[in-house]
Amino acid sequence: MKSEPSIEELLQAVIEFIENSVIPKLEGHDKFHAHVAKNTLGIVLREIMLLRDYDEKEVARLKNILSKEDNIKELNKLLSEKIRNGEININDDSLKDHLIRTTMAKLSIDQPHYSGYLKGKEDNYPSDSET
Amino acid sequence: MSKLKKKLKEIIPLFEPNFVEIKELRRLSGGSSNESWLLVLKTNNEDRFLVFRRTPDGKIKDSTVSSFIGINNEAKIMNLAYKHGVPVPKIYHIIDESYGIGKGFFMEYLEGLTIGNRIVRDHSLKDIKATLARQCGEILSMIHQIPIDNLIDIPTSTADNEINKYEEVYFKHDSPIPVFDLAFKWLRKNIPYQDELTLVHGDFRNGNLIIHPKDGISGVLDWEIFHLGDPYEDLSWICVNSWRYNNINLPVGGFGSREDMYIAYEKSSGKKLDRERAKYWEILGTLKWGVMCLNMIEIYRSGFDKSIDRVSIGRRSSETEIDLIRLLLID
Repeated sequence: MKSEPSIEELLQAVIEFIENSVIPKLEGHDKFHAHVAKNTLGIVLREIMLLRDYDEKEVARLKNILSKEDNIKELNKLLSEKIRNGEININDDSLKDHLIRTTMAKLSIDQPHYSGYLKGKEDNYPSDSET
Repeated sequence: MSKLKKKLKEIIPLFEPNFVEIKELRRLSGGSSNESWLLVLKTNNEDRFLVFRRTPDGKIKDSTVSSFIGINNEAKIMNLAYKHGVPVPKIYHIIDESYGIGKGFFMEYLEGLTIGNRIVRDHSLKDIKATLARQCGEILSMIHQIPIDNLIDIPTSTADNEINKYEEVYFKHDSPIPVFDLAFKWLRKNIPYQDELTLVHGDFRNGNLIIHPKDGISGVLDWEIFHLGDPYEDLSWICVNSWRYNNINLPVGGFGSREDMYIAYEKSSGKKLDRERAKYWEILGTLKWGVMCLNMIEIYRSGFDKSIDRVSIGRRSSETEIDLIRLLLID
């Protein structure tokens, strides 16, 4: 099923409504919360557009590091355990590459203007993001 | 008239004999756990400005968010800091829960900016900004020199306690974040030898400082998680990237350099600071903020606070992942 307009267009319209028609009319705490609401929908929009591709790449890396097939949550759980019990060295290069790529991907959804993320882009950290 | 206002009118004459009426009562923004209210009083003399700070919604229970000492102890420690020359609002009166508006206290209103983002960017502060890191060093050295021998019932929390506490919250959240596991692992392996305990503010950062355009730091706020611990905790918490408000190249609160703060601290305390140890605590502080963000999701889910800003802060946890990567894997 494919309904029109797309979910991206619908979200974009709501974001613009909050920005242009709601925020200018509010004061104080409500204005602050409206800003947060707008930014939150931005996260939703970016996640819808980007997550599937990121997850595929993340799972492929995890399978490679862990030599195991499973879903993304279980693979991450296993990676966490192996880091904790020392089975994977925290200075391992493929682990490092994986963690940096996964984190850069998260930031491109959660907070693409965050200074730590912008510095990562400036310093050419490995990344799956195309922008 | 609201119940709060009615009760306040009963209480205020206890410490302000010239009180006539309340001209203004307004909730101040900020403070995700305890509430702060601005009070403007008409008196027989001139108008008087005060801040009333109380438990959330006037509930009897102390905040479950971050406080572990209780709001009345916060007032007591601020009083002590005031006596030792630390810039803090003067405490006028402490109330218990018997009035039905929660526990809390009345304190001096100090003029200045407190919103971190504005402090980093506001033009009215451009002359004073260069001195703020030095002031942070001096103030922290004063806080850390407050004698602790007579303090009773104050929790002690050193690096290993902090790690245990936040690891427990992370485990409870039950959603694996491998970067956090890596950071916990590294932090456990490198715990510094705890040679001295001092009073630690616990939340000394841009956002909890009142900045006056001429005098600089006129007040240190939010003492609700003070404890005995490692003085480097305070020196490094203010450098956590999240408190630089996107001014990443000015590590101290987004307004100053580490060396300015360290040198002022060393001069004022007569102690040489260990830069590596400061970095250790910056890594621990960064991880702590990341776990606190996760805890915001739990607070939202528990029903304690269903606001949009509470739940969406959860997505700020990833900002600490990229900062931890920079601190642990890149630098």
